[in-house]
Amino acid sequence: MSVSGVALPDARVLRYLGVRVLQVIPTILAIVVLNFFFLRLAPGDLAEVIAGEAGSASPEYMAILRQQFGLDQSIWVQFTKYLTELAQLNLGYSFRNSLPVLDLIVSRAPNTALLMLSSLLIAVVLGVLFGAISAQWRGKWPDGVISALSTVGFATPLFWVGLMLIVLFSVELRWLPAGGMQDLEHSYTGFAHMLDVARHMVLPVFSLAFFYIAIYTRLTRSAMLEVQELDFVRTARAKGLNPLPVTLRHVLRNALLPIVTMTGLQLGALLSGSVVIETVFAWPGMGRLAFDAVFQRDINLLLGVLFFSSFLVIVSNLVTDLVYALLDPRIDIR
Amino acid sequence: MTFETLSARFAPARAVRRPRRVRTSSFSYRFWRSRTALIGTAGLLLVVLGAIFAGRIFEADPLDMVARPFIWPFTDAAHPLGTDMLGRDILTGLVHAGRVSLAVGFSAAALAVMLGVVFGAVSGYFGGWADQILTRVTEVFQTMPPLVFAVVVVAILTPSVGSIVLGIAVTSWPQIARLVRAETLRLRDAEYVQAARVMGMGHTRIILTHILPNAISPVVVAGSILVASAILTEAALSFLGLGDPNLISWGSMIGAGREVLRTAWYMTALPGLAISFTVMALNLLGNGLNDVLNPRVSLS
Amino acid sequence: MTAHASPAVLDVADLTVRFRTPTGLLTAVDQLSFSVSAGETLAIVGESGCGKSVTAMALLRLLRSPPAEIGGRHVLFEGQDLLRLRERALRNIRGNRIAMIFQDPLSALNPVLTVGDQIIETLKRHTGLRGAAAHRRAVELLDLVRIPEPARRASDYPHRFSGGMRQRAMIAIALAASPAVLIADEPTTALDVTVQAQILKLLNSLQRELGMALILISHDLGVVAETADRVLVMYAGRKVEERSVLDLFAGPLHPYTRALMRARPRPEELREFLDEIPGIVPSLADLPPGCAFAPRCSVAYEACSATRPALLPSGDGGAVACIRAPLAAGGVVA
Repeated sequence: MSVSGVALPDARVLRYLGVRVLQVIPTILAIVVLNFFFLRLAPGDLAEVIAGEAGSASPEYMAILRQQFGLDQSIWVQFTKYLTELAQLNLGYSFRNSLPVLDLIVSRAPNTALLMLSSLLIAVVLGVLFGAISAQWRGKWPDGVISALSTVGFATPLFWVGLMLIVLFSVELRWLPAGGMQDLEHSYTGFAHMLDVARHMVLPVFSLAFFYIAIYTRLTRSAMLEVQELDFVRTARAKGLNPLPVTLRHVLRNALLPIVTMTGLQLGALLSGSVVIETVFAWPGMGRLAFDAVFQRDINLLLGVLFFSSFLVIVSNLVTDLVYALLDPRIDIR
Repeated sequence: MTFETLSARFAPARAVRRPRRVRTSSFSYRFWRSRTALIGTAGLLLVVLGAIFAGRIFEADPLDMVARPFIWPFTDAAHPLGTDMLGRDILTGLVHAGRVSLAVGFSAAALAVMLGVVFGAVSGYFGGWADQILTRVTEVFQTMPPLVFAVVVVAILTPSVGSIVLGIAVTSWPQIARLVRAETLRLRDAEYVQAARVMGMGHTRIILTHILPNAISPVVVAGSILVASAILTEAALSFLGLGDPNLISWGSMIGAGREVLRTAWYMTALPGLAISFTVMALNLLGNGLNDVLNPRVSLS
Repeated sequence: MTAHASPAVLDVADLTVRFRTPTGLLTAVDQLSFSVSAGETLAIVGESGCGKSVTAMALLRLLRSPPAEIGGRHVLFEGQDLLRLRERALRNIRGNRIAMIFQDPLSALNPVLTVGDQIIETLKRHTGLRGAAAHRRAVELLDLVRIPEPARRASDYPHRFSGGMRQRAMIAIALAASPAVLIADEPTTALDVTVQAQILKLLNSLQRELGMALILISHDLGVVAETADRVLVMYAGRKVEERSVLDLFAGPLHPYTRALMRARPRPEELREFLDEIPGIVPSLADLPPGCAFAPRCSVAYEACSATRPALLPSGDGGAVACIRAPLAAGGVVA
């Protein structure tokens, strides 16, 4: 690879990014409108929720509350207000937690990111490995075993995998903790803390990765089988290259392109998966936050999570496009 | 899952000309594939028949206490899969819950297919600004993480079979819409469609009689896989406590079993196996159909 | 033209290629024999589907097996029988002593590797060159195939090259390890007419400079006339005629060869219509019992469909497989 090396002028990358950001603005706006619509659709407005919390409330008190939150104003006024607040990154206030929604989300987001990125890493590494093995031994027994396992992986609910792992590794074998992010009895610090978190991560990360390993396995297998048939692979073989370089440099390199696209597209599904996994393992992330919001009837917070996670998906799509453009020299960043 | 729609995004990687392929061992390949279809059909039939005849075979109400609680599976011939913490028969429960899971799965998929076909066909057939707008709408719906979105819909509409079906459908129709749009774009300029147009046939009739029938096979494949993912989503929603409070589904059985996970994990394990089995059957059926109906895209 | 005198560098005897298909075994190449000497150009000609490309791929055993089954008496090259050589040993010959170029240079080049890297890959595999030395050699090779600004173009990706330039790059890759035999499978078919001539000229001059044997596979008799020393005409997997290029164009013996020539556009002879060869290439699955060309042949009679005509010497050092050949040569040309 001595001659290659991707060298893109920074200005071009920035301009490309700028254009793409402009393109996603309508999408963000549409999600905002939907969010507002949901907020209005929710049974009982904010005043009722707070009044219900207090146990009882007189109609006068309710009216005062409504006035205070601007709920008595026209829908357009409310929407404009909602927009201006969003523009100032104000996702509203969670009365249950007595904290701004954004603060709550931001405090939980890193935990979710840790869970998701670790799962994604494991899923990509194992999935690509299994898929490559499967494609290389197509029709032979390794392919059969891997295909059968991925069929199972595709069909098994994530949360159930999590629960079964808890039964095996926490209840029966007592190797790993069944939930939480750290040991609450000892408050470890430094390296011991990291180790503690890592121990707590093992089960949720593998539960979440399970399904995605299956996805990456299938995707890699089909992408490699497709690339294997292409002419440049024949050229590589005609050069006298050994099978391993042919597979790695020629087949896999090109098969990785759809895998990159997939990774970007999967972020939304991965976020969805982490909602259930965080619930199973009491992992203090955004998913757990959404779950709690549902049961506290904290619609503001729930919609905040929806908006924030949609935003993350948009960002990840942008990053994916950029990575794709860097990996595939045929795409010129304009 | 999202495989069919994804292949559309792989296009850049395929910019290279497709080679003429020597048809390799396609007979054994097809045979294996049709075998998967057969296994899938058989498995699904088993589940569906069980669900349909649940009332006949297991006459007891699944909510009745019939024996002492916490009987482990395979220990009592009268209750082959044991009883739960309230002494209810688990096999009866599984079969009855299967009705709910299947009904929700099929209805949600049907609704999603309907929405997707309408949006996709209009978008692909008329093109122009209608296409622009609908494509954007599709994108918006694909941006929101599906389960989080479904949770919001169900939470806001309060949990019921209706809201769950709606919640799953609104998160999965975009896949179908993209598929149908692509097919419609392909068929729109076909000669027989143009001929129909010249003959003065209306747009609706052209779409209904000339375009959709020819776009149906990938939709059938995607639809069968959609049923599988709808069952998984329903299970997740019920597990999260967003199931219909008046009904038992496999997901809510897992949610209930979780309370006694440490002492009686079989209550969690069994409904999970039922879900896996059903979803696997549907996926196999989908893959099998894919090979039978459109053999040209048989790589995945 | 004195090619026949020098010893053959590659000698093929009774090469047979079959494909295992759902409906049975298809014989794509049937007992094909030929040889080629250093500095000589042998053209293999026929319509698409006649087995000429399969022959090219079979020489280096590049066909996937299954479904392909390659057999025959021998393919002798530098004292080794390529048919019986172990795969590992064969890989030392591929791209090294025998190199290949293909029809569509865009798809034959790996889109995500630079052209320079793709040349260096061959150099690393078959020569001792590494690092800067390999890079220098790659640039020299690009210069050898007359690519302007070779040092700069080495770090370009294939999609930045024009069609003709890509084929030059393919030739550079093929020549990297100074092969004794170059197999060119329809090297100009995918190119513009003006570029075709340049590539052919390049191939010719390189062959002369390097003393290579060249096996040129083509469906285009125009290309053959300008380039080849000897011509082998294939029909339905069999050799039907093999003559020196001058003899062949002076007096084609096989009715199929004559039909091919009539179907060829000639600028000096402005005709309104080209003579098409009537009928279609027969399916390999159900070849007629006698001469495979008989159903389309204008001079065929009953005996043609009864027995398969043997390949007989034509008296001028060539050979032809047609029971009407002596008659046809006598001037019955319709």
